[in-house]
Amino acid sequence: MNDLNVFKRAKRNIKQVYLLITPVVLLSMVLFASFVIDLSLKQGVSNLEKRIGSDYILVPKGAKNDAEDIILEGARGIFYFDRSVYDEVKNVEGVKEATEQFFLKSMAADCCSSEVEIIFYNPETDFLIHPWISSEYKKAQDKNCVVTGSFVNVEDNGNIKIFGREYKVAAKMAKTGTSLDSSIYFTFDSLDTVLADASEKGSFITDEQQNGDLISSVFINIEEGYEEGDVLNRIKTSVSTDYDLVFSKELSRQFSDNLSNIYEVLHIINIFAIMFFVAIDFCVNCIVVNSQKTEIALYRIMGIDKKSIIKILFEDALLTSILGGTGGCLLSALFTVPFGDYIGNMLEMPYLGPDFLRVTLFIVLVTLLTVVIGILGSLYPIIVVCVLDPYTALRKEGE
Amino acid sequence: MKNRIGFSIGYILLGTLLILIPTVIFPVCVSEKKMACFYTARAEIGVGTVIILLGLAYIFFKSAEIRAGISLSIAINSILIVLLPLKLTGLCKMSDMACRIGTLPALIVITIIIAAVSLGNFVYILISSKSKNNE
Repeated sequence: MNDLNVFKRAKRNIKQVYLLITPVVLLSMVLFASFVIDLSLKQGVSNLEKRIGSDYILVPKGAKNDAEDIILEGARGIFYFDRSVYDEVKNVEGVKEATEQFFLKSMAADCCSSEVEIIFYNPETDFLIHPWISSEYKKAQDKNCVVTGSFVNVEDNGNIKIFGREYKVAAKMAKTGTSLDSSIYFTFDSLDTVLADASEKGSFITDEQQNGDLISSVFINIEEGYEEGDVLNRIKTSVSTDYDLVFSKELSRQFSDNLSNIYEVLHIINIFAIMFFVAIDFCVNCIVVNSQKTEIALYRIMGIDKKSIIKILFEDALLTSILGGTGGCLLSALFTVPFGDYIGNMLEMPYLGPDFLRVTLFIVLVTLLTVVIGILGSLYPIIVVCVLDPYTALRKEGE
Repeated sequence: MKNRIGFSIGYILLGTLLILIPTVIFPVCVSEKKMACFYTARAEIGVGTVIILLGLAYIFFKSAEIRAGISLSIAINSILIVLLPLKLTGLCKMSDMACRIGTLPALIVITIIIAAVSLGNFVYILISSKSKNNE
């Protein structure tokens, strides 16, 4: 009876175990990968929506497309209008909050070799950057301090070198999976120094940038209870400079809608993978049970009842499902988790990989699913056992 | 004999794959200025070559102890594969650089594979030669 132990049986029938386990491994690999990609894209898009953080953005006339590219793709652009736009907008009735930003043409910072987006903001009115700060080193940000995105490298002494000048890193932002990760934020107090340094280091700085009191955009949120159209009309009459309006919330909604096609494809892949591998699992079970008929018949003749044999087959299915499911998930995790940033980069979309807890949860979930599928697949062998006449089976084998 | 041929080919393929990762499959950053990742790639070529040579040597030895020793030395070499980018030679500092998002994860994955294969084979050789001696 000791020979009926599930592990000993597996060792004896190792080829059949391989045959049974392969479709389970493949299924769990596909399911795990699609779960991870699906969640990472959703997290990335949700962060993009939060990151936009305002209802509308006012940008200079003709800069609407550039501004949209900046928001969605992290593309770099330079466009400016007068700061008076901000002063005019902030006092309009129905505007809950407004904050201004200045974009500087992206530069390779001295600290590293990749491009970073340099943005100047007003910490007193800001409602876009501070919600993302994950670790704060210094309470107040002065002209010698910066806030950096999660991808920007900070030296061991807590400083960062930009255009030859060292700045203290006041805070680092949480990873968002968007272009925000490779941005550096200065306050407007640092603007003159940074522009002078950039010019000295050979960057092309226009006279307009150097001398004017300029900003690139004004982000606004509308007060609840006010009709958005009315507030926008009031802004139109109050602002004397020509401007374009970016409907940021709508922009992120459109982006989210476009992504729904990708989610659909992933769901279809999941459904087909489950159907395909359940069919394969069923076929493999048929082949295996046919080759095991003699063994089962012998067990029956030796006096082992049907219930015990069904238990053996059930244990076999459970062992292959758990081993195959966990193994497949781990194999898939080996490629999908470390390559998260690479996949996001390839897809050119906001992408934020799952944390350890979620990865573990997915492994448990997918393994449970493969166990259910494995048990369903073992139903046929169980039926065969129930109707099997051991003597006929042995006689057929003898013939 | 099966083990000798199989694992020898396996080690040679893994060594070749290690050389191809920072040079062809997930190449390190391309720049006129030679950055840290450039030197990491060169060092990985060296580690890959050592693994290929050990894989070649593996086929010529019948002695189980020597083959176990070769497998163990490949496992120890695999530690170098991740130590080079993480501690010894380093990579570019910005987290969104090609060497950080492509090369590093690929090197981590190949380290896990090489370590698992060589350590698994090491344990297998020891267990099977022990059971042979007992017989």
